Amino acid sequence: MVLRWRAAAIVALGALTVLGSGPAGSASEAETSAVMGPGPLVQRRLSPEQYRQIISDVFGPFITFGGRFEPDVREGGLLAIGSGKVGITAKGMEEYDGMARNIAGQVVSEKNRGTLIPCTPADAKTADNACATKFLGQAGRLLFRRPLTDGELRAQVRVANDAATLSKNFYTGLGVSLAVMLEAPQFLFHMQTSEPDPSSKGQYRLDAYSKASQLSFFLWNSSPDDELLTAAEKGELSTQKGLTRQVDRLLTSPRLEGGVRAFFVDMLGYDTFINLSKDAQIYPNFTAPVTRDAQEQTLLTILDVVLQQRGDYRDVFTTRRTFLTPVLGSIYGVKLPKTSPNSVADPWRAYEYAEGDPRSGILTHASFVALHSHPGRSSPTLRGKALRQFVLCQRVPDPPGNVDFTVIQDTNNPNFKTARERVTAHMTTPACAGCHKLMDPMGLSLENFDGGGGFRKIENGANIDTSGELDGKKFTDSVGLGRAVHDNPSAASCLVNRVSTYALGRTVTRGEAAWVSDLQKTFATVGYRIPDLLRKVALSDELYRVSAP
Amino acid sequence: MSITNGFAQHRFGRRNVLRGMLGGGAVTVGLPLLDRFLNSNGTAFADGKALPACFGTWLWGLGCDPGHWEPKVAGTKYEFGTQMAALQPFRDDTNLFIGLKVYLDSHAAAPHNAGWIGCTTGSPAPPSFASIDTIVADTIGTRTRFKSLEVACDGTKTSVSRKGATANASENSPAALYARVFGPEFKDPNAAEFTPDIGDIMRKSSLSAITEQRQELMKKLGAADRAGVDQYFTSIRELEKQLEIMLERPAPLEACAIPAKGDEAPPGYIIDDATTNNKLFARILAHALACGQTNVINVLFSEPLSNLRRAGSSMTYHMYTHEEAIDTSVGYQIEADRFRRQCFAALADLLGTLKGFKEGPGTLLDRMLIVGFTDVGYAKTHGVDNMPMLTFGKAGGRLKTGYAIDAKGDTVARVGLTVQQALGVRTSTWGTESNTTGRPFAELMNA
Amino acid sequence: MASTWVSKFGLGLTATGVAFVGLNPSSASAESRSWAVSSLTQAVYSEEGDCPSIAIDQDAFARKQLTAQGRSLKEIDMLMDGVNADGTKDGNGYGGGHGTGKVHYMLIDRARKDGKPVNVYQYPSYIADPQVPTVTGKHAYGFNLDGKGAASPNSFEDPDTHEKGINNQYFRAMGCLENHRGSMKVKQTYWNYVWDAVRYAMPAWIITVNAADLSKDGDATVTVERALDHVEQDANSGTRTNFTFRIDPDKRFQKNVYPAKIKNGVVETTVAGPFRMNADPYVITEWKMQQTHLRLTMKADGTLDGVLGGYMPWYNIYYAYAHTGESGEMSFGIDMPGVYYNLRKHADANPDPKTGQNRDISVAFRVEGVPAFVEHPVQAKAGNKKISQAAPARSPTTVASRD
Repeated sequence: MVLRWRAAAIVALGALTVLGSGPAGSASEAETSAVMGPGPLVQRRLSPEQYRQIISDVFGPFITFGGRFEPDVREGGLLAIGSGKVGITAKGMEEYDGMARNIAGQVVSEKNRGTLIPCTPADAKTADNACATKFLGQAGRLLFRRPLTDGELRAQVRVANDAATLSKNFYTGLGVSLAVMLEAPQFLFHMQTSEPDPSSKGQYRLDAYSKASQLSFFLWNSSPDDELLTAAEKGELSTQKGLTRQVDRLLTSPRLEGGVRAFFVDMLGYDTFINLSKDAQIYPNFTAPVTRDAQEQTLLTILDVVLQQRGDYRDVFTTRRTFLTPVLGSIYGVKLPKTSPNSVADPWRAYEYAEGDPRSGILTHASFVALHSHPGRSSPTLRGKALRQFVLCQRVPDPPGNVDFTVIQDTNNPNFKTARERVTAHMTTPACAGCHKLMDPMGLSLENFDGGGGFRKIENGANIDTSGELDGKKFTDSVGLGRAVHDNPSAASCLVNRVSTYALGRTVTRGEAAWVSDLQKTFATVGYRIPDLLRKVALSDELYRVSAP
Repeated sequence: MSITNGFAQHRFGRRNVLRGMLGGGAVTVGLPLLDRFLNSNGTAFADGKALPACFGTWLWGLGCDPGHWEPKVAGTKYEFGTQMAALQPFRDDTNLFIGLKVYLDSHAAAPHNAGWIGCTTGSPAPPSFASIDTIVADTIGTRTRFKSLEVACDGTKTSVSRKGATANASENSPAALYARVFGPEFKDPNAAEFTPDIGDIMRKSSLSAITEQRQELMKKLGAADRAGVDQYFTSIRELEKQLEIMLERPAPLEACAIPAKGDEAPPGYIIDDATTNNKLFARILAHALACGQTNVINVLFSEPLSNLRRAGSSMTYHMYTHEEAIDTSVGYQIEADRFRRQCFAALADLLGTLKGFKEGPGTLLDRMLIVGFTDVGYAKTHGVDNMPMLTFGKAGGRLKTGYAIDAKGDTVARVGLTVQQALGVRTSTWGTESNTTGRPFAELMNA
Repeated sequence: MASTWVSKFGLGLTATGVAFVGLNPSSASAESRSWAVSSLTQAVYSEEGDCPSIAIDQDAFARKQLTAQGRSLKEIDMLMDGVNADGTKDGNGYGGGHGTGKVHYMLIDRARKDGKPVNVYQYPSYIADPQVPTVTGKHAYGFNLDGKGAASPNSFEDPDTHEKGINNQYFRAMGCLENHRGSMKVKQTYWNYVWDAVRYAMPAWIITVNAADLSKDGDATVTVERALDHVEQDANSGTRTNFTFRIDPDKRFQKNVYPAKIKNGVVETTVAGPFRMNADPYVITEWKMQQTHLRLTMKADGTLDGVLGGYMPWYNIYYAYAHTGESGEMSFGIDMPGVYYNLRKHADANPDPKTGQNRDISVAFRVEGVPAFVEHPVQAKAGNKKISQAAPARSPTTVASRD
């Protein structure tokens, strides 16, 4: 069964109601810069996933890496925006240097050179100008996402020739040159360049190759393929027809999955999984494979809703359909037999919870309830805060400095058996209550899920009350919370905000606010279908317009 | 395979390179390239250059008794439990890990094997065996005379050092080790001619392809978006500087002296003999490290399943752990405990020896990172939970010491990952199955 | 690239809704709960003065055996110290348990068959009974297997319930060995160790209790089955709870079904029957019992704790010990022929019609379990053999040769 994403033409259905604003008291994230026109060029550092994906795309999936990437920085809610603000430290450079030499060594190795190097040198014991030029030109175009300039190519070939002569080995020389290309800024950064826009005087736009990269990193989380680069070369991306053809091709490619996955990994803050650790005494079932599978479960669920079913994005908060492995089954208390022999990882299995089951929507997954908990107990506050921050794009102020957390932390206090009782006691402090009422009422509806993702009805012998509230809408349990989030206008508008800034790699300017507002309307019009939103963004002039240099 | 590794065997004297270049003919890059890197006589020392970080392992058999080695509280300024009391003077050079375990997943708990294999490979049943010392040696041990030196104090030839199917056999005689390191083959590193590594020359030269384009690139960037790329070029310059240092004559090895030939002890089946061997080995190994003969050492105080005995007794340390009843007044096996204390006293001997080698403001121990580990968490039951693990030394300033850390049931692979990252191995994760980790003990790492 | 999606979802999409249709054999019962066995150890109750504690002194043990072989004191001294006839040392003296010297082989081949040395672990009856002491205390866990109650010869009294007539001769035979001593609080070392060593690497044992209402007193059924899957380790070195196990379709392991009654949360079998199971060779490969009894407490925390008892062929037990050879003998401090003779002497059921020698011995094991889901192999009936084919062949090589 091969699936294809059909990028159906967006049917204009007439604008729906204007999306509502955020709730009183919770500041909507200030993401708009004061600039009236388009934004500046951004030089984004490749994310680790992009680096791996490009190397795999260009040289093959068998290449190994063996290196550490510098931590990304979250800004404007996204690592994709932070990547435009970071450089590379000296320590990071050592890592890139090591990885570059490691990868280049594999490419020119005896095993791989036959398939990866398009020519054979006249004499493998010395430099070969023609063959080096051919290989470095071809590899360079894919790595730098544009043809090398004459100067660049000359420099690369010179490095290859020098090293070949010194080492008396053509391939060693080629490897040295390839390594240096892999640690060049043109590879490690999405380097954007602009050009005057011939259709509007005084305006600037990304040049054709930068446009191709903007598009492919947005939709595939990788560099442009040969066809996209060729389209850029031929000027096709400057015509609406040519651009549309490429956008539709990218959207119907199976590689779209990688792009959408990368977007949600970023939006949902899954980079924090690396620091997730649970108290083994309290949550013994929460092992390393659980941590790994928990994030994958949610990503598969989202991909299923938004790509496989081509459904309403908001259904991710209500869907009872998900994907599980046997170890996740043990966390969720779901009977799920292995299908593989012992010691062999099981394939993912689709699983649908019964109607009315509290486990509905991604907010009830371990990737949410366990990630946003403490090592040894649940946290309605952390969950509520994460919901505001990651799902609704709202900022909750940090707690004041001198807070007494004793009541919250002591899960053995006989007077406060449940989290609700502890939180309520804590909220008697007026300074705390203001913010906690923004988080706790949602988080408390998830209290059936302990800090390790397991299900419980009772805490310390007391029944758990899962009633809650989100922006004035009351509900009795996690199913109600999912429904409330689904219906909350901020959920959809947050997604649109994130998609647009993710695509740009920067926050939107005031001048682009109308564009985002238009995208919000479109999103509602197309039934909150993400592929349609992506298409609309990818075909927008705004994605490629930049301020004057 | 890294590109420079291909040249590990391929070190050229300056004269040879010149001859090769002239013989090569067509591309005349060699001479000016070399001239850029070498001063006129090729003997200048690099200024302010750090001595290399070194790595070591120290294995003792049969773990510890739970509750009798751990400090009462984690953090700094802690006191070791009674079994490790001998290490107290070295506390500030030590990191002690509590609550580490080997996840067995679906593998049988191969008695006395799953534990040490887990500690050295990050897996109780490694798909391809590469012990941590060999992984580290691929990074820090490629330019020394010996990639690593293995010794066993208990008379066996056992070693934990392994890559693939074959293990590196241990030297079990201090006299033989002496002959191997300081015999006729030995060349005084402070007197020997220095020849730069050709791989370094190529790397240094190749970076010009990047730096030459700096202006061109920066021109295209606006003021707002150049900060990141600017930092990038600063870092490239740092990389160049590092390579420049590699191409210069290394700093003199201040603590290097040829040791006098030492005594020979009987094979160490008896724990007192093993203790003597440990001392003799420590001295030779310290000299070998100080003289830059190797950057990696593996010391096996006893086999994992230790058959050390006392003179006149046929009961081995191992048998005591299984057969001796727990003395309820103290809560452990008295005889087995005596063996354990002696193990740590021997470890203290080694640490004291390394600390006795002064190098500038610090000591040889300061530029080392030694991992102490064992085969079981609790020998009586062969448990591989709460595996005692320790590190010693600051890895040349890359690691903080003096901490006791409660890992709360996390995998032993975290120590191995920390070690690798501290010693510059390019890796972000280590271990297999449930032992896979991407979390080094970041709190111990100096930026 | 297209296959990524398919490989991840291909099975899942088609499996929805059908994956969990599994007919439970006792689906007629209103309630069914299963546990995966997390620990199985000999049920022991060691008390002060019940017997002399036995731990082998290796040196003395070796000397004793060499003396019994008719060697002189001087010869023994030389052998033990690895001294050759010319006075030089060969460095191959007795190293105890793991040595490679001459004494090592003299201990292994200390049995005499037709006057020739033979392996004592294979021919334990070809050496004199070393008369290893046995338990003389009055308490033991287990069951009144022979139905004779207090009148049962050599029987014990249950230390908790004070029920008399408890048959547990395995405890009597082995209970003086240092590493076989313990209680319900402190598990005896030997069994704790062997089960721990293999539990993650052998098909799990599954216990299921069916009843109309498990929370109430009344009739029930206890089933013990074998899974295809191993238990999984949790983050705390325990056994992962709520994991799902596929039941082995092998019919040999599906007959352990016993009528039972629940009283105060304790389920106890009412009709004894045969028991058949396999385990890792390190434990007992072919686990066969007669007169099987189970008494299991379904604890409030969801776990299971109880006793499994019955009559078991003593020779199978002997081989579980003896296959470890000299290293096992020395590591565990067990005089192996002593095990042989003690089990044989105290065997108390199933006499051989020809010789009169009892072939089975009464045993009791402490059994603990954690909550589990089970999936029964109904597909096998429908001609789908995939599950059984998926069962990995267990290699018997997990037994460590040195310990």
